Amino acid sequence: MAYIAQQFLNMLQLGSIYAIIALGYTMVYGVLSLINFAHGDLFMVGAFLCFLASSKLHLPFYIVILAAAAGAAVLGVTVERLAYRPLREAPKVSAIITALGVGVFIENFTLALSPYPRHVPELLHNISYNFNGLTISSIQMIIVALSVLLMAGLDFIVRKTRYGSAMRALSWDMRTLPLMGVPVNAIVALTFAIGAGFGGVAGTMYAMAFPVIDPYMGIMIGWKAFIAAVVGGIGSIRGAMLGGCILGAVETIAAVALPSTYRDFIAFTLLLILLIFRPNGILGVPKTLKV
Amino acid sequence: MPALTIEDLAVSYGNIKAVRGVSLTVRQGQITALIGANGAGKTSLLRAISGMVRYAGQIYYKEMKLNGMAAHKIVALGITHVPEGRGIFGNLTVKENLTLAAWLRKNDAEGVRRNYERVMMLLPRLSERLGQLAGTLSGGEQQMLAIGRAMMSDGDLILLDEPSMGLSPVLADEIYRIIAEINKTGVTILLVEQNAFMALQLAHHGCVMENGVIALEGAAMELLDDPRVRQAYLGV
Repeated sequence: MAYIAQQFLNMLQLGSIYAIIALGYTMVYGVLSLINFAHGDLFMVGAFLCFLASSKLHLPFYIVILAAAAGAAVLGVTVERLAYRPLREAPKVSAIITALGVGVFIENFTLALSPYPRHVPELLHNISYNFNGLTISSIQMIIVALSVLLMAGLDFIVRKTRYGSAMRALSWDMRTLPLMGVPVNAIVALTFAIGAGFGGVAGTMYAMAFPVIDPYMGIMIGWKAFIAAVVGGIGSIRGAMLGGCILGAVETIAAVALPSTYRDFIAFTLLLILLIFRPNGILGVPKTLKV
Repeated sequence: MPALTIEDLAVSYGNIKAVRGVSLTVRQGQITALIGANGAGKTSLLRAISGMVRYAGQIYYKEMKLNGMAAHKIVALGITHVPEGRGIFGNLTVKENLTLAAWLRKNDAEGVRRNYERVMMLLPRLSERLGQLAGTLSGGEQQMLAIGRAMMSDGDLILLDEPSMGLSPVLADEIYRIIAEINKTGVTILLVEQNAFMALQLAHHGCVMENGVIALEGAAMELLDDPRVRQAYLGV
């Protein structure tokens, strides 16, 4: 019983990290119909900023996480401004190739600065609480709580604020939005800032849970989070949250039930099967023709 | 006094010249109708005014040059464009659509509330559908929403692109009644229409556009009686 509860906790921790990264993919896709393949690398940059802020500058935990979020957000907005905006009217394939290129650039730039894997020091003194054989660490609690908080905050922004209305309107019709007096470029920048900022936070959370980081760590995690976003229904905020949790659950169950090398194989197979039956993802709706 | 002055305007898409040297003035407080067949360049002209396309020539709004200005900044000057096809945001509710149109008036809550009440009064059908997604509205309701949004923007000049398109005669009449109502409050209107008869009956001034140029211009009543207009656009 305690074992199952323990695995459920692991599931939640992993799922929240995937969900937070998946949100970055889904937000950018929602407004620009662009898959930001560099997003996994923004997550990696978040982890390195966390390393820098904690082990070199010895900043307190909450500053570390803010610095990682802000640094990744600035990088995300810069990438949009320099690489994606000039291609906004170009064929989508060009933009996707650019996104892949930006990702490789960020990886190798980081590699040039820091060629070795780094060990992130303990950000918080990790306390383990024991309840009848079930161990909960303070890091697990913080990761899950912070993720829930971020998701609730984002859901509120997108559904209830004027900026959220503008983002949703932008995803429907980018050409009409300026006629409402809304500065489209500012809304796009805001979307990238939030998406990339979430990537930065996820990088920090990941480094807290799995403290060895390297410049290529964003590739696999990024792909997985991307798939989580697609499974949930890309473009849908709640879909990304759901997809992240499902992926976390499937991976944890696969790792428990089968040899650990089967984990990714099982996870991806299940996700691919799911997509056959729900090609738009669980919460996604087919892009309807506008009248 | 002209609200809008257009001088030698040309708009091209690649090799296609949609507007070829149009000069036009829209008088303050009046309804100016721009009529013409499909593909005459009417929509391109409106898009040039609101900064949606690049163009050659000059456009002045109350002596201010609009050339090269971003579309959202032109809205801030008081020009509201109700685009072809209505341009409603189908994934937002009716109320969210209306609120979004008041984007630039965040420091004028009182004025926004007044406009909102006026929209509810003039377009009662919208008030029954406030929480509904705009994409589920009928064509006529979408057109009303588009006009309601223009009222929320509170511009001094409204550019309307075929507000009667796809509507039943009864609905089109209703839309036109609302346009007249808005004009009575001092708002200048540039009305683009294929339905020449309706537009010229409502307007003070009229222009006929053909193949990217203005072919005829005059008082709306005179155009209604002009044999060329009668033959080509009124079918009589």
